[in-house]
Amino acid sequence: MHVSQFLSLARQRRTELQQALAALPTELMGRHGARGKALEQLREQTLDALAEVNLPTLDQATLDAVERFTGYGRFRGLNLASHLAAEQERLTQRIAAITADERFIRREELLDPTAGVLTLRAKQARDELALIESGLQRYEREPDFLGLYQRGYRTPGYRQSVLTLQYYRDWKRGDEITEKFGCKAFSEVRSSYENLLRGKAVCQQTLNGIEKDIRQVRELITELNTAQQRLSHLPQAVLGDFRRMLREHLALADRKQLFQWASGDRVRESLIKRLDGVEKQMTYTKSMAEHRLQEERRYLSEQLTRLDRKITKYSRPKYANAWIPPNEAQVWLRDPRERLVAQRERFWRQYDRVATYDRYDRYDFAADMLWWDVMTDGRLDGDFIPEVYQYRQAHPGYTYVRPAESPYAGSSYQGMDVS
Amino acid sequence: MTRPLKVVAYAVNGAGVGHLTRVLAILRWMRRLALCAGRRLDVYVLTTSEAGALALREGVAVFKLPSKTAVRAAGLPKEDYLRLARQWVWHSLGLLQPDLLVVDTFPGGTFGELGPVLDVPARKLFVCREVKAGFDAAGFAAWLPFYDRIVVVGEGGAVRHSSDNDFDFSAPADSFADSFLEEPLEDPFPGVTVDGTTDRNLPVKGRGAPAEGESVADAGQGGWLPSGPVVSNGVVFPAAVRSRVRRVPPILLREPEELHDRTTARRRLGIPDGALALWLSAGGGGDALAERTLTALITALEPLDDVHLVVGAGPLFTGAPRRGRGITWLTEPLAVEDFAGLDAAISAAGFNATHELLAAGVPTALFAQEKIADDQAARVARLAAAGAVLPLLLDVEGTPDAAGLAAIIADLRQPEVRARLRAQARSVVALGGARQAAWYGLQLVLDTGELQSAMARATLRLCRWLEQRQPDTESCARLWALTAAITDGDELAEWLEAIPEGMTLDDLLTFLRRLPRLADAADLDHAFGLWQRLAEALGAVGDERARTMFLRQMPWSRRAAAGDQVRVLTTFLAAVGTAGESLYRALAVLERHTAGAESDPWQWLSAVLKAAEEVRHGYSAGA
Repeated sequence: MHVSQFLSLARQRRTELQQALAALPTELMGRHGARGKALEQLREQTLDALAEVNLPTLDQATLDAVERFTGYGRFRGLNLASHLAAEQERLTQRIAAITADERFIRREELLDPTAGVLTLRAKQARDELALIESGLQRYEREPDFLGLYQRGYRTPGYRQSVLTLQYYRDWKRGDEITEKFGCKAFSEVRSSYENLLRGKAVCQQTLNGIEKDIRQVRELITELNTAQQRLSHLPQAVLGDFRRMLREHLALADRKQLFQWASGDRVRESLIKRLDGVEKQMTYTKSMAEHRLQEERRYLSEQLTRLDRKITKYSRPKYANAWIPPNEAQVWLRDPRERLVAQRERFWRQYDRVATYDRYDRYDFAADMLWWDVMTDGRLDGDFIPEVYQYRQAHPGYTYVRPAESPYAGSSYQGMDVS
Repeated sequence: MTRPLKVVAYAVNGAGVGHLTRVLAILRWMRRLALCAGRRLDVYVLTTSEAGALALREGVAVFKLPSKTAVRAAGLPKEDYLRLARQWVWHSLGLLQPDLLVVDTFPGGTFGELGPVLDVPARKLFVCREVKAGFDAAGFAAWLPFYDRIVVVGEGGAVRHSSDNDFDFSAPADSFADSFLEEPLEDPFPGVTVDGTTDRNLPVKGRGAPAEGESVADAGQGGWLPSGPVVSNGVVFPAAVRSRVRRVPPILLREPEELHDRTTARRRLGIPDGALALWLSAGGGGDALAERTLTALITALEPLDDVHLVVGAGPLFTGAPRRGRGITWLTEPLAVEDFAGLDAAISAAGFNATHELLAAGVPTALFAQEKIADDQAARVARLAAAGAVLPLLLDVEGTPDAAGLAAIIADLRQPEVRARLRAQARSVVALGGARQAAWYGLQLVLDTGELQSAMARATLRLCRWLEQRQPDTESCARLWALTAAITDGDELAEWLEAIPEGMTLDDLLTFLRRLPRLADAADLDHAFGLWQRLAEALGAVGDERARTMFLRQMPWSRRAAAGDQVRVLTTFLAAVGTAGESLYRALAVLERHTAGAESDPWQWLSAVLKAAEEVRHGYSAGA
């Protein structure tokens, strides 16, 4: 093959590899991102389910049992009836206070889109502001004006030495700007500009104040609506609050400890295993994708570097009429992405194995187990994952033993019905 | 994490406790210094000593071969035993592959077995104790060149020897502190040129010539170098190894500051108020005449109503115990920890027994036992001449001379005699021998800089804290890196002791990592103050797991001042505690409020206070 032909093909290949390298993150992380979102959703659903299992209804007995099963002690000693009564009282008083608030009473008068007092004041303030800003722009659009202003031209703070060209440029432009603005001295131009700036600040402050007032009225309205809505469905609202609080606790509580608190309740245990498993899946798949990305990036970069070296070499004048043996050219021009395709397929199979794993019942909190080994059946090396690496370092004698099939296999918690 | 270092100590001899005690003392300090350098040290001991409980108390793993005494008692053939013992030592060293081998007293091994394996360990330290004149001196010398460092253990009451580092035994141990910061002299005789081939007599500047028949070892402030190899502790040091020789004070398993106070000790020993507590000991208990000597002493002294006998029979004692109203009978190791409770002692003049009593300032009467390598009679004579002990004679059957014993008791009853003996005893025994020997050993395997920093840190107070809390090496390494500006161990110990119960060193480190670099003591003081406030607030809520998780994930702003953040966080945690909220939920609330506020300190601090409000009012904030 003639060197010119080789170089043409090599450059083409180089471009392809560069494009492949640039596309790597999107290809790999894009697919992972989609799966990651699904896992995140599953996690959220599991948390919701766990909160609901522990707080199915709003009654005193259920509240009293929450701490025993979840370690969440916020409801300890809470008298539900008193709490509901207090909340009802609070809402009623708040509703009354809002409805008595003059701003609320005058809300239409204040906020009417066309003729509301605050609406009109805001519009006026905005108009004034726009006017000032257009005035300001006249100065700011003037070339070199801002520079002269910031350097303090014609003020005691002006530090430009007479021995510099900038001094004379400033002088020239200063005179030109002064003349253009019809002033006698640059200090007058400066003064006018600063007046506009001050005016803008005052106007902006006024506008901010008006907008704040508008916001407050709107907030009052929203708050009233919310309070009325809440009052009309108070038990459901309070149940929702309590579930949210419990959920926040469950989201971060230590999983092993949660499992212990579950005290053998199969539904809870199943949900906790699923929760822990899903969180591990999220961690593992992220690490797998990032690791794969690094590997492919490194590989393609190496290939690119190698190809670049060949291109550089054969671009030299001394090789202008060289002939490259076809078999060599074939090797150098080989598409490295072909090898990556097979590797990537294998990678996605392994990835999907972890990402779609759903036999959470196989995990045993009591036995020291790695979720990674459970999900991969101990067949994949996971030392690039910090948690896996650290676990194996801390347990040098550890070997994975496939857990026995649980008699409850397949009967793990699936839906929301916990009756 | 750096690779852990492996140290193996060889204390293979007869049945005695002395060798094992010495290597355990050195290993104890090696572990302390290594921990203060953030390095893990795995230590093993090869021994025949029957006092395994001592090693267990010190937390050291021991590979034990039967002692010669045990073999004799079992009637096993000596040749078989020797063959087995050699093989056992060879294979043990081959398997363990130590980075540092510490050998006590017998450089070639008790059975001459160390020779073939002295090339296995990377570095070797020989601990050379005084032996009887002429005891296998030539055999000793032949093995010495195999060792990278030779530590010569000084004797209490010995005159100043002109040696490489010239320790003055009458001075406090901290004289070493002045020298350890500099590189030890390679030339042991400064100002002197040594002809390595002929060892000619050369004048030593500023030193007088030795008297006729007096060796350098016996000279006072100095002396001429003899025409032969330098002799010290009865051991011949050829010229080739002189530069490797270092002298240390007596090596003790416990320093006086590590002993129980007098009140605690007397309570532990069961000594009644007002009684004269008299310690009786025949050494480790393995001596053939030990039972006879102790029985004779007890029989003579038990009738004395004002005297309470504390009998240290020793871990090797196999005779019949003698217990009674005025007797405390001890066989467990580390009785030395209660020596502050003693008023006086009558003891065998073994090396460890003697120096432990003298270092603790116990007014002592010593008697000599007949040993193969240990010249106890010379020790008694030397110390008696220095006024540090009262000599007691025994007959050939190990029974004390009655008149002599009565005179000694009469002397020991007198407070002024006891005070004089106490003062003299302390003056003749320099301290810190184990620490110094450990330093010299670790010099062979650790970087000088890190070892010097470790030495400055390794005060008794800090070491005590480390041994109580037992943090892992990695955590220690991180702690030393973070607190590099502080070199004084006591200062560090003061801060570490203030870590509240239920909080760990890792918790402290997690917090310290959030702060800007700690440049000096003032920074560290400030950081520890903040930590204490936060830890106290955190200690009142949640369990250990939740607290650790909270510290690890707690939001923190790099813009807001650390003091302000701790202030608002303690307010937040107080709200969590008052509301009975879980730390897990508290963290979730905190994260929610502070999200996006990291860049604005004011916003950040306000967000934490708002989170406190939400936690305080909790469910009523649902609307």
